[in-house]
Amino acid sequence: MMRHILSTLPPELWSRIIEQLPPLERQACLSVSRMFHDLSMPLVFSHVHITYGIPSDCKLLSKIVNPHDSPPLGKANIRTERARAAKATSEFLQYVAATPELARMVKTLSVRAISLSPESVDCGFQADLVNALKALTNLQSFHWRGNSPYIPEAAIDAIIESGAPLTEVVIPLWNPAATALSRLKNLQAIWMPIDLNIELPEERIREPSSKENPRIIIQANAETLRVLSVHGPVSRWKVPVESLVNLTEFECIWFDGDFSFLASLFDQCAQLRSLTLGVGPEDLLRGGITAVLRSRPSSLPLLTAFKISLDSFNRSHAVALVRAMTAFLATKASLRRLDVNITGIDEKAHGLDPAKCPSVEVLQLLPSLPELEVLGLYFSRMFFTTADFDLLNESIPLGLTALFLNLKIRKIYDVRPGLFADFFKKRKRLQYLQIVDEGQKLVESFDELRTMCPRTVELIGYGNGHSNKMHWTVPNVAGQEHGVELASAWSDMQLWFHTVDDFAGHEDWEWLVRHRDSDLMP
Amino acid sequence: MGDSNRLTLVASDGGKFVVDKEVVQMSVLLKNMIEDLGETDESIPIPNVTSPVLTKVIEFCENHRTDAARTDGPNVDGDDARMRTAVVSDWDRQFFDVDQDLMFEIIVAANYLDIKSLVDVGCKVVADMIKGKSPQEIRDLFDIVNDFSPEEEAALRKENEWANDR
Repeated sequence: MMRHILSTLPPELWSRIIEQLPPLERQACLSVSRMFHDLSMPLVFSHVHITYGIPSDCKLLSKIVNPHDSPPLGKANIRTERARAAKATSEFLQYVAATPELARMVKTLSVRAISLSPESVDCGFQADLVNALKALTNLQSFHWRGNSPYIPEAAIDAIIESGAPLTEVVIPLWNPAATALSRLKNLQAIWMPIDLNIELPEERIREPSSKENPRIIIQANAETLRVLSVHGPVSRWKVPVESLVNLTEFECIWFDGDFSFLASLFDQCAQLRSLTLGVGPEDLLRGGITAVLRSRPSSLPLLTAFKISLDSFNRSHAVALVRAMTAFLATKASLRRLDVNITGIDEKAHGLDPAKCPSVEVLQLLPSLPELEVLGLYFSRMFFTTADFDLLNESIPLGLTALFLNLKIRKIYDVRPGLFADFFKKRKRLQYLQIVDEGQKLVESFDELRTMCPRTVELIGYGNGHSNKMHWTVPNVAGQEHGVELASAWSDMQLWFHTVDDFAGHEDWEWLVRHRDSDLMP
Repeated sequence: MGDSNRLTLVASDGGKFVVDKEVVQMSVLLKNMIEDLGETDESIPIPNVTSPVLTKVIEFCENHRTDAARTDGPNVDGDDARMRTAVVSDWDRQFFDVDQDLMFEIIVAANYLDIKSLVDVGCKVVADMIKGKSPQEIRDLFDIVNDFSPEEEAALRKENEWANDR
């Protein structure tokens, strides 16, 4: 007799099952049956992506990507591909505008503006986009990545006209639509990354009017704003700290080391739960961050997430900063997420003298953080020995659910094979694991990592810093103690423009990868 | 006089199960029922769940009884972040290493009894079965009939193309 599985599980449970799937796997569910289709449609189309340009446009502009990994398309093929992509985008936008039931499903719209030749793209694009935006009455989040073309003011007006309950925007830091953007009200999250596909000329950054952009939109939403992320010297834009007092999450990449701004932030933003600072070498020399961390060890008592990224060759300043940071974090018993990405210092060091290797102090901090579940770490050595491995193995908590380990080892000494298999065997709660192994390999290959990681790992990534891959997984066959099989791979576009939806909603994992773009690039 | 820390559950086929109250209370439905009843020696009927399924549900709750206190605590990052980091352990996978009918019956029973952790783990195990499979393989796995009309198939191709822009 035929089983009637579909009738035994009610649709709401199938919906929860499909919800657990990564984006590409949800898409497969569209074509299974009518019921699967109807259940997966709202999930698949809750976040839609529009690309202005084609992926190779993005790659050609990147200095990071190794051109040998994927040879560029021929000129004629590029033209054909651009035309095909533009037509598909236009068709989709027109369909959205004409199909209210689909338009209502869209909660997030991501536009990737990466075209190398905007003039070659169908000039109807803007009209199609505006018409579609007017129909997106449930839009909660609007992302515009890249600056070719810039976000049109008409698009912002269309969002306002739609009456959508928009609470989040991701917009390039510099764009001519600043005044229009300030008309958006009640935003809870503003992300202003620098355009990662096209590097701006220095003079554009220095443009006096550019400084108005971030301040206008932040101040227009000061009352509701909870999450702010900016790539730039926020203190120099004269954003008053008073407009940030409600923040629970603050990120500043290329923070300029300004003591008074950061001190005010620490003193006034007591609700802050997540703090991310990207510090450049000059900022480190100014010493503002170190001084604030040192003078305010008990500030930000609610902190659950802390991320710092620092590239420096100044050992004494880096050591001072790490020492102040570890003392500050040691009082944060609720810390769940920690990502310390300090490069340029440990590379030439060997041995476990904290004065020489700031990462040793970071590792020594970890056992005092009882809630830690999500960890990112840059670990570099001239010589890697069993003592280094033991330190990693003893310090990294067993209860981690997500780990991003960036290794850069010049020479491996006295380390017997299989140590990492033992390391992973003990970490039975890991769900997301990413290894970037830049130097001599501690983990030989993706396949080795796949076979030795815990069966709980759902998303796995491996690379050497130039070529990286990510895969969703399924547990290895029953009876095996460890190891996973690979399911769908991440596309280049996901690796470039990842959002929390690409991580199937796992906010912890997206947080861990955030601002590590160069480590993830395909 | 019965043990006040234990309760008797009666499955739909009459099978009786004496279980610790603490374990029973992982079911929000039964927890509320016990609170409404107060101190009582009466057994609690579970009319929608058969003995083999109830056996498995109790086995899960016994094994996860210590998890409950952990998830009851205040959660500063919001429920959703916690839910997404729920880990399916090797024990959980072995627990669900049963035939498909029983697996689905366990999930349905957990949903009826409102045992969130069991529903979550069950849904995740089924999701893992789907991962990496084509639409036809998913149909084969769960005996699902392709009921699309040719016109719907054509519309699907477009939807897939649009959804694929990632």
